[in-house]
Amino acid sequence: MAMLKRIVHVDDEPDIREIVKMSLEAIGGYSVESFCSGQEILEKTASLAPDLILMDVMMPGMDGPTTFRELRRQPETANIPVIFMSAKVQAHEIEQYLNLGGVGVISKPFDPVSLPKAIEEIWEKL
Amino acid sequence: MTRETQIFREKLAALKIAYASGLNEKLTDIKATADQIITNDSHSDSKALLIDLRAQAHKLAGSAGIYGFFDLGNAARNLESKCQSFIEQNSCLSTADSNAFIKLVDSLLHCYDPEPTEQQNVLSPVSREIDWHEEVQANNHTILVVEDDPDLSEHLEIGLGTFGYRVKIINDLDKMKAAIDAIQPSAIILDLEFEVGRTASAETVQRIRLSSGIDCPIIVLTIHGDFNARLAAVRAGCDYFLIKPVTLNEIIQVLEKLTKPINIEPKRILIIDDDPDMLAFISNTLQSSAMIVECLSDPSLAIETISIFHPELILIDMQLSDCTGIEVAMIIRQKIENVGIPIVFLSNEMDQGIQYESISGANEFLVKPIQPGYLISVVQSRIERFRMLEGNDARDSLTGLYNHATTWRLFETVLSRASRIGIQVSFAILDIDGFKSVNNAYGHSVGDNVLKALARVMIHRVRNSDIVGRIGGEEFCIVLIGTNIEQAFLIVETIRLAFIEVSQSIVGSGLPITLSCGIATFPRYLSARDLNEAAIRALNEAKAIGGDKINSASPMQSKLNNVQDLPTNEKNSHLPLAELDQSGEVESVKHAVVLDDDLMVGRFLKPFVENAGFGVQLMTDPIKFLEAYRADVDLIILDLHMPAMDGVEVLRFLGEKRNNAAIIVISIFGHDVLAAAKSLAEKHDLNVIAALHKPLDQGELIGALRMAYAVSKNYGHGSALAEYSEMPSTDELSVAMNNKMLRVYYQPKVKLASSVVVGAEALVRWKHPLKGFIDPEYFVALAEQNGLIDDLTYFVLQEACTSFKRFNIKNRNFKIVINISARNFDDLSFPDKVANIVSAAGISASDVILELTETSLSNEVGRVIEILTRMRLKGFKLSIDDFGTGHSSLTRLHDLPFNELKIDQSFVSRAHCEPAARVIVKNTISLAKSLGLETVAEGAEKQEDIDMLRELGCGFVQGYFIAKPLPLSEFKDWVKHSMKA
Repeated sequence: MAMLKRIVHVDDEPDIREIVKMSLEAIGGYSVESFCSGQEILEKTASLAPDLILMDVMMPGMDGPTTFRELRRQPETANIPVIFMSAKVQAHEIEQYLNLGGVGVISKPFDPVSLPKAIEEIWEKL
Repeated sequence: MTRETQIFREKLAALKIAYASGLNEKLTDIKATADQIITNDSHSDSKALLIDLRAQAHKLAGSAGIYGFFDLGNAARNLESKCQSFIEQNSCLSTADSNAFIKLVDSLLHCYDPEPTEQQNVLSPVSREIDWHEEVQANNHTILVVEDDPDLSEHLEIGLGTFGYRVKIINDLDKMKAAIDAIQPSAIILDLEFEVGRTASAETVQRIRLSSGIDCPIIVLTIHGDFNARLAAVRAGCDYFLIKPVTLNEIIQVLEKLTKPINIEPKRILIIDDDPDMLAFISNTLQSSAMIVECLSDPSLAIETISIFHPELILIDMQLSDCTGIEVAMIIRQKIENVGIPIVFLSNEMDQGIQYESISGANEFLVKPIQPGYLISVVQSRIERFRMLEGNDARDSLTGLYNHATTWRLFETVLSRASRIGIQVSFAILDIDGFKSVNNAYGHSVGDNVLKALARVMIHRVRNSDIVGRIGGEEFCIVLIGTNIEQAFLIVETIRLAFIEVSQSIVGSGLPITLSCGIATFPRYLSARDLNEAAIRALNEAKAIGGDKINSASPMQSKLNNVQDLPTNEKNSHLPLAELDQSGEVESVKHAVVLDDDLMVGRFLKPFVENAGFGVQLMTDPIKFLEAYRADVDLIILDLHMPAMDGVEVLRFLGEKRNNAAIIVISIFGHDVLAAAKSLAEKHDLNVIAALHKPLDQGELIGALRMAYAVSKNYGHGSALAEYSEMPSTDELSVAMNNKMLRVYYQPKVKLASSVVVGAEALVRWKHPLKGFIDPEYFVALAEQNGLIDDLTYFVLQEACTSFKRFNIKNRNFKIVINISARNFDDLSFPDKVANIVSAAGISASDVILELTETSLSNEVGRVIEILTRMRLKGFKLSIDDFGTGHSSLTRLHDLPFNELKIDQSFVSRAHCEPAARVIVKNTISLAKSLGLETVAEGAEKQEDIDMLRELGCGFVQGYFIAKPLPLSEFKDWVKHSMKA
């Protein structure tokens, strides 16, 4: 797998967007673009060509899984790996997100200091 | 910590403050929506509002935990799921629903205190107790040791660990880079030779420096100490060079110097100058170096400004408009508290004479125009010197701790703050037992080393904000802020244990040096003087019983002092109880009599007995005791050996009187005498709770007193059951875990056919300093319920894996058995973490058997199978414990990837006498065999059990008949013996 450089993050909660961006940029050394809705990410991801997408599951309007399916439908975004972030991580949910085609699941709340490491671990297994 | 992480943490702290400041608004919104839901009658509106509230709670639930507000996050999560269930319910809220709802919202609002008393609370809204560990942990540096001599490695690991350092040992230079990247050490200790003409070692160090880009200090341990070797080491970038053999003390001294936190408090400078341009120039220059600057153009305000701003240096222009700088300096220095503050003059004046004159009244003289770099360097060096001098005055020169006067001043400040913000403060006085004889036996320099060692042990075990002082020759004190007596007890206990180990390393094989301690707590005692007196009293009681003890000032002491002190005239010895009854002051307290000819023993026992809920009468004369005999005493503590009449006679007398008090016998004689006395007393139908050996073990004593309280006849009548009598709390467990107060014991597992030891089950034990041994079932359940079980499991695993290598067992099939909990499976990365710990310890997964109880298999079958399978794939063996107590179907057992089945001891111990139990054991063994599983019988207590198990074809056995769970050293001895046998 190539180096992980560019990450797109989508979450409707500004506080989470801010801390994720800060954590991934300051510790992980990645470049991060944040979006606040599924709609927005669908419009902009293709042009950004990120290596990885980090996606909140429960968002108003278009939720994570729906956004994911839409991304898969567009050829430019169909192959970008997606990690889901969810507050309710039960075993069957993890399975459900993985079955959907997500490459990993990160549960909320997460520790901002170790977030980049968690992402790296998933990335390395790809 | 990498620089990136450091910067990130700083940014994170700022972000947390910003987040916290926005929380009020979020919570107000949630409250408003919730209020609308409660007061709303329309169903459709309610539903819309509930959806709205669910979204608000969801957002908060997602973000709060990330910013460290865990309780708030959880409460928001609860509210979110309640909203969800109301939405699904799709009807108007009933009154009960509304009440439950209001409760949830209230508990959410209570999770956040909008006006924290300290900024610290905003940054880490976790409980104070948890902060304590984090703060102490933060002081603990990780040291990387590269050493191929296993004995020296072990010595360093244990020794440095005692001083609170985390130690990572590697035995190979090639692994060094990976280790540095992984643990980011604060210092590296390297065992290397720098011989003349050989440059390999120097090159190695240089290479490491360059390749890993590390800037942490490197300490070299070496045999050659000549100039050339030292030069080679210096050139290679080594910071310290220690000649072997090195003592632990030497290494600690170096480490402390190297890892001491830098005082980063910004420097404060006052500038007095009436030229605004000059003021601006100087203040900009100094501020650019992160100093705090206060500018003053009117010198008449100098005194007032100094008293508010507390500058560490004052810059004064020589030529002010109304007066000279020298005059201003004289005015400033007239105030006695300003005498020490360095003053630096700024002048255009080139006249040497004036400069000298001004130097005499101040510290430095700078001529304008001033180079910014020079200005900064003069100011910085002056202030650093000032800080050092201030510090010297405040500290004890030998130990570096605060001296008596400073300790006292700080202690009083802490107390006044504590009463303002309402927190507890514990005050502990520690004193080294028999220190004079240490000095006499080993000389004063060793004595000094012992004092320094205790100082370090203390410093490493408290937070930066706590105060540690040396208040006398061998007397020290600790002021623990926000700490109750139980927590203080635990902290001092860790100090006591560590000190014994450390002092042993200083004085070698002689008798261990111990310490005693007395603790008193604010607000039980209000003034510094009362706290000091109470702590000294408690200390003296601890000393009176032989030392090596921690004692708390009794909560009831002050109340009962007047009536309880033993009268010198023994005639009145029966009076106190009567007086107590009449006064009514302590009428709910049960009555205890301590009968011991040594008054000191009575005085020692008194606070413990009182804490257990008894009023105490101390008596020294058994004859007087018989004369004044009262049947209504609830507890009698009786010394067996008294000159006037021995304890056995007293027991006989009590038997004749058909006394039904709880009795605790104490004696300096061996356990056989105690046991005989106990059985004698039982023949007289006396209610003997315990027979305790002197010197008394506090844990045993407290356990016995608790039992005495429970069985004494007017049970339920007393309300003063001591605070110590409860089982330990989660916080205490967490303190114990973080302070290595849990111990791992090993119970041998033996192959029945060959009687060879084939494994050891690691079992965790907790000896609480106040409450004695805590039932593992209790605290494991506590850990399971409170999210500590993963840490506990990893702790046991780590200890066991480390011990595994020290067992020295040649048998290749020897395995270590670790218990795991169903709750460990909540974390899907559990198998990976276990595998990491095992491989980091340098042993193989196939050396480890993981054991879980049958009952833990009942939940979430899919997840359990997944995790167990992954464990097997990683090479671990799996064992199912307590088989027969759960309800596993045979099919389930077949589906699960176990290697071994353990038969529960309840069946094993009954099997030789109960046919039904025997049938169960027999069938379990044959079932296991048919499934290809090994069988292990637990709880074999007699030879009959062994014979029966052998006959039934059981594979392995564990139990008290073979050996009980043993501490590491005893286990090693046991193995040695068993091999010889």
